[in-house]
Amino acid sequence: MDEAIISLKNVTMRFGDLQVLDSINLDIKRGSKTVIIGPSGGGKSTLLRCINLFERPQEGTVTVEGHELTSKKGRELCNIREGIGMVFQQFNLYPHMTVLENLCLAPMKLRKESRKVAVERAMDHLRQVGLEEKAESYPGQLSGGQQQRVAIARALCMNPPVLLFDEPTSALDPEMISEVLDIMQKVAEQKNITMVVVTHEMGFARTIADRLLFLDGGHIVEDGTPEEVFNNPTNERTKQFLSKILKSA
Amino acid sequence: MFKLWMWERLFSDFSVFLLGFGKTLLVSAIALALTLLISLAGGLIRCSTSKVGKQIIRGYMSLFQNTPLVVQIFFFYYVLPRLGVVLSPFAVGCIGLALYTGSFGSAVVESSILAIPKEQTEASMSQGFNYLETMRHVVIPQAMKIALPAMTNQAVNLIKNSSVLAMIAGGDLMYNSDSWASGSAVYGPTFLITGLLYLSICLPLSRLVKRLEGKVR
Repeated sequence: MDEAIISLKNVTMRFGDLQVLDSINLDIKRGSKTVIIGPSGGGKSTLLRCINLFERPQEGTVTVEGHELTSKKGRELCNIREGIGMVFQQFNLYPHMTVLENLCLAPMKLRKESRKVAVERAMDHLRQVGLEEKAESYPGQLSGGQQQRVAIARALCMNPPVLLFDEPTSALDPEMISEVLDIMQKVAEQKNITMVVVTHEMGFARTIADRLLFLDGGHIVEDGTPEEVFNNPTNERTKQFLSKILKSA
Repeated sequence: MFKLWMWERLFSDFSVFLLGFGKTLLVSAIALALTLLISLAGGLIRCSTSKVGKQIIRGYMSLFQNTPLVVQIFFFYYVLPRLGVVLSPFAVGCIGLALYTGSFGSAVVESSILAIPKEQTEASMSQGFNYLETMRHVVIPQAMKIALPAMTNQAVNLIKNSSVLAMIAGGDLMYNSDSWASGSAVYGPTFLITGLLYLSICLPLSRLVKRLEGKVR
């Protein structure tokens, strides 16, 4: 249980002159739920996007499930990505397909599953997110919250050992945030899934995270359980950030 | 000019017009199929990361968009044989029209692909699809809807432009009409009917464009 499923070594990322990640070292345990918080521009999303190599770091290595992604290209990289699900801020469902087709596309095309098997599992996951009756709807007919729940179901359909969430509630109206957080909480209860979540939802971080990272200026400046970070932040920057965030909440 | 005998004469020889019309439709259909292939390939290469490929397509588009179709057709018909490539007027029509229209079609496909948000590509890549699979399953089906009105417009242009075949004895509608008119000295009714025949194909297509544009919005 203690092995690291995700391992970042000296990961450094620059966009032009801007240093976004500064030799990050991070091991994430299998089955753990890690939440990354921090001010905007602090490198949270970039760090997350390094884990499936959407951003290719200039230096350092990224290893997931024993595969060193940074040395991979083409089909090999795609195969590894199958095991790293991602949920986006803007949901990114395929608008030209029904909900069910969105869920079945990758299992059928990449894993060559039969329609029957793919549909059955898709319906299971839709049931889990409470949207069974929307199977034949198009994304455009759903609310933001519903679309995000479908996006989570779509990621789950590939049975990924790792699931990344990039600010999954930031684009939602306030009343829809909780329905998405509830589903994420349910996913978090599954012990075999490793979750890494970038979010501004502090309450959510407190309840599901077993580890909280505070990222600022391309450095991990705080790393501990939510209690440790919330109650006894060691870094001045973290204290300021948390007092602002918690005041506004 | 619009005397009854002229019309009688025209309708007694109407098969000449229908024959030409059939040839126009056939050339247009084949050229259109080729145009779609060229446009899709050109558009995809324009959106790819291949620098050499991009430059080649860019050169092709610049050349064929900015020279008259008649010059291109004459080149294929009169100049290529000197280089050992002899093509029938029919083949010149199909290939010439396709290369000309494809140079505009490539631009249509390129801009339609670029109109699909990059987040769609990311969603697909995050699931494990590669570039071509992403294009095939996610981007192109969406881009096609955007491209459809402009491509239908290109089809209308292609059908009208097929009349340049008359200049190389292509046996198309315009050629047959022109020959028949010179032989019979019946000009007014001839070109009225010829225009109506082109209109009978192009007008419905143009209407379709309007409908499709409404749907895309």
